Order: sequence, then C-alpha cells, then structure tokens
Amino acid sequence: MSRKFSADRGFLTIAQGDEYVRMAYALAMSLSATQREVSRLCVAITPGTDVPSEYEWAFDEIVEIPWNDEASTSSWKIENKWKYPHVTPYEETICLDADMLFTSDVSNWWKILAFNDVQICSRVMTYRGDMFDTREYRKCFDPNGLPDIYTGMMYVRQSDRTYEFFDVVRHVFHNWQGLFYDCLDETRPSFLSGDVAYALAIREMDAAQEFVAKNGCPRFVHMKSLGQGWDPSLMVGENWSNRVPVFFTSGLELKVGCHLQTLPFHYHDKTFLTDRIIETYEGALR
Amino acid sequence: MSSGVLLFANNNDQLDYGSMSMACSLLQKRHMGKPVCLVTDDGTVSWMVSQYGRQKVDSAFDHIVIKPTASESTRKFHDGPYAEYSLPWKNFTRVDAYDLTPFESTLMMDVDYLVLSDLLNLCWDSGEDILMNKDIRFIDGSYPSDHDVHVSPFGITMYWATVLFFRKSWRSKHLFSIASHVRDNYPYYTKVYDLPPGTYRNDHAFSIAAHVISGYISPGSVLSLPTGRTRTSTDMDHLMEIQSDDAILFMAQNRAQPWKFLPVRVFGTDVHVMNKFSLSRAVPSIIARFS
Repeated sequence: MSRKFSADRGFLTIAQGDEYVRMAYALAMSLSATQREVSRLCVAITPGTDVPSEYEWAFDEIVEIPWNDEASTSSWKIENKWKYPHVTPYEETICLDADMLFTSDVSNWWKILAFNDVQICSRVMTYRGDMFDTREYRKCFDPNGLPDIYTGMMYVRQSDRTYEFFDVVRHVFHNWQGLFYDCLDETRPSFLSGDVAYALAIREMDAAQEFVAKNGCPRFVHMKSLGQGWDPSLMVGENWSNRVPVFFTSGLELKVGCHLQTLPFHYHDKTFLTDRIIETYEGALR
Repeated sequence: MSSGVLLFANNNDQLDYGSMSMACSLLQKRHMGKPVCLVTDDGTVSWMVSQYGRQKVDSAFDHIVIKPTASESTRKFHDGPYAEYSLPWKNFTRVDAYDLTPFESTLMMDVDYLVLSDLLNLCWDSGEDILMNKDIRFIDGSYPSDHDVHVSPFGITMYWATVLFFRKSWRSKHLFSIASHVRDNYPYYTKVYDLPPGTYRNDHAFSIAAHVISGYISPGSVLSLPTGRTRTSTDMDHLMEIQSDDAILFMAQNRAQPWKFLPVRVFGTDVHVMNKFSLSRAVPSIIARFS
C-alpha cells in the first residue's frame, strides 16, 4: 500500500508541550517570511498537546506522532526523534528542532540535498560567523569515532534506504542504555542524546560518507554558550539572551551582538523567543 | 594616480607628536619612498620648525594641511608599568581623512607606527579600495586577549585603524562617512555596540564602519593589509635602541610576570609603538639617522 504525501517538499518539526508549540509557531512564521520556494511546515504533536487556534494559520499540517508517545515520561523529549520519515507528510523533508528561526532563503539547499536519501547537518556556526568547534558538548564523539552530526537539522527523502537507516536509528533509541554501554567507552553520556544515537547508527552502518552532510549544506547557527568564543570569565550560562544584545527589527532582521544573522538560528535558550518577536512576525505576515 | 602616506599629529603639553610624525615620515620614506602629507595644527608646525628648521620639516613632509582641532579627550598614557599620565588626546580628525588627503590612494597611519620594511607598498596595486588589519601580535609573540579581538565581549570584530589603506571610491567614502557618524554620535554607538564607556577611539569607529559596510555580517568584507597582522609593542614595553635601518631593540614586559622584561629585537617588520614616551626618547636618533 503506497503512502500518500501532501506535497513534494516541506519542513517538519516535533512539538511536545505548550512551550515547543509556541516555538514551532515562530519557526513556521519565519519560514513563511523567508522561503521563496518551500515554506510549508508540518508540526508533529502528541496526544495532550494543544495547538492554540490562533496558531493554526501558520502551520500547513498538524499531525499526530504515530504509535505511542515514547517521550511521555521524559523532561527532554527526544525519544520520538527516530519517527521522522514515518511522521512527515512530504516526500522530501527537512526535519528541524522547534527552537529555530529562519533568517534567509535556503531554497537552493533542496537541490543539493536531493543527491542523497538522508543528509544530517555536520557543520554549525557561531553567531559571529565562526565555526562552532568546541568539544565541550561532544566529549564522547572523538574517542568513539562518531561522526560529528547535529540532528537539529536533517534532510530525509522517502526511500528504502532511508527506512533502512531509520530502522537502525529506532533500534538505538529503543536500546540506548545497552548499546551506549557496549559500543561507547566511558565518555558515553548517561542519558539518551539524539546526536549520539544517530551518530552511533551511522557508525555501525559505516554510512558516514552517505548520510553526513558535506560542504556546509545544510548548516545553522548553534547558540550553545560554550562554543561562541566568549571569555570563560564572563560565565554566560546557557540563557545567553540575558547577556547578549539582541535586535529584532520590524523588517524581520535578527541581529545578535550586532551581527546580522543569515543562517537558520538555533537559539536553544527558550527565553530568547519573546512575545515581541512573535508579535513582530505576526504584524508582518498577517 | 597619486598615492602617499597620511599622518595626523597634534601636540599636547607632554607628548611631541610633531617630532614623532617626522620620525615616522623619514622611516617611511627610507623604506617605502612615498610622499607624506601631515595634518596638524599651527602650534605643532611652529614647534617642529623651531626644533628642526624649516628645511628639515619640508623635507619630511611633502604636504602640510593645517586643521585646528576643536575637540580633545583625555586618556591614560603609560610609560612602562610604573608611570601613568592623564593627558589630552586629540584624535578626532582621523575620520575626516577622506576629504583631507591630497592623494587618490592613501595609506593613513599613526605616527607611532614605525615602518621598517616596504611590505605596505603592495597596497597600491592591490586592487582593493580599503585594507585594514584586524589581527595583532605583540612583539614578544603573545596573542591578544579578547578585548583586543572584539570591541566588546559579545560584539563585533575589532579592526585596528593604526594603518588604513584606502583608495578614493564610493565604498571608502562610505566607510569614512560612517566613521564620522560614529564620532559625532559616540554615546549612541557606545550603547548599541556595547563599547567600553569613556574615551572615543578611532579603532572603534572604524570597526563599526567596517562592520556596517560589510552588511553587518562576519567575517567582514574589509581585507587585511599586506602585513597580515600588526606587530605591536604595548605601552608597558620600552623602545631601547634603533640598532639599524630596519631593526629596533625593545624590552618587552612579560605578560604573565609583569616585573620581568624580555629583550626583543624587531627586525625587518613594521611595528606599532604604543609607549609614546619611550618612542619620544628615540625620536632624535631616528631623525638624525634618516634625515
């Protein structure tokens, strides 16, 4: 039985809980504001997550994550992240973390990504345009030969090979404790990390050449504090928006530390997404 | 197309920038051979003429532009780690260089920048209309700390206006126009760019201007000078001796153990000497050697 898709291409994000739905709403508006060719966003929710009626106009699709909510007992809800190809209503999908804003058009990425069934981001940047290359958050990657991937952004195309890969990813997600213990050394995380799980799946399939994106497409700004090159004595912490000047103009330009942002901006710090930013998007788009 | 070096010198009660500009000019003529235009005030010119004679002053400078300085700020000057002075600092006219220079292509430099090579002559045929360094390296080989790399802890890249090459064009005119706006509205830009409060700095004005003409993105579109990075001696170091036409001996303060000093010989590479008192003591020997 072949599956029906609502469109060729689109973006997908998972949003569990009010906070994530709000972030997905801002993400949807940022896509509408910037993308020339593909701007549709599907938001995947779990039972019990409400999408406020005032947000519905921004989403092209609202779908329920299939099977059970595997993240129901977690505070950091990533256990459903292996379900992307099953959830998406699109033939080609760029899967995103919800805490992101798009700041410019990335239409030309689709053609480049379409050469492969799966492409997971492997290059991320600081807000100043430097490479984000700290190993502070990746202590188990280098000792265990894991590919340096960032599952906050990945391209997925419907194909047998894709499902083959995601079967392995599912297996890692479902058996992460044993697999992390058996396959990683003592630097292994004590919690389920999506990046580690996907990286382990790629390593075990020896598929880095195939699934790890090259040449910086796609890439995004990764606003984890320890990688921004700030003086450690400043002790910024992960709520960076309390310290770093942010300007969001009525023209929907985002400047952080007076640097204009032109890549997808993965803000991480949820306090960054103020009501003012949302209202500015609404004012421009509605 | 005319090309040359542009210097700015305005004396205060204690620092003889005029004499420093003569030394800078003579060194530059020795190594690069370019004409020099000095922007200064009547008082500084009179002082130089009284010290060196009209002929020597005229041989050092091909053009002298008199521009009175209405404004000045106050800043701290150090003569090594054990002496500190608060003195007037007349640094507001640099951003007017586009209109003041008589040259089509201009290398604007601080008078405490000692040219010991001809590397900067590569600017003239570079095809670029603006060149300015953002990297510095101290004479002891140490790297700058973050406040010398960015204008503020979370802010934009610091460009060093110590040496700035520009060829007259709409883009370089735009750079100076923005820098002028920063000078004229410094309190506003201090807030927006989170600059350290207090004294106006040309480095900040030109850093902001470079950032703006680069579309507010990093890395910016302003390329570095042929020197790549500016070799810098801080105001904690001492210039000891001009050893030859292209070699200077310094005593460089050990950054980690500031009571210790390291003899450092800078040879065949230009150097920015921030300790102006120390430079002033060396100026007579420079002028005598290169006149």
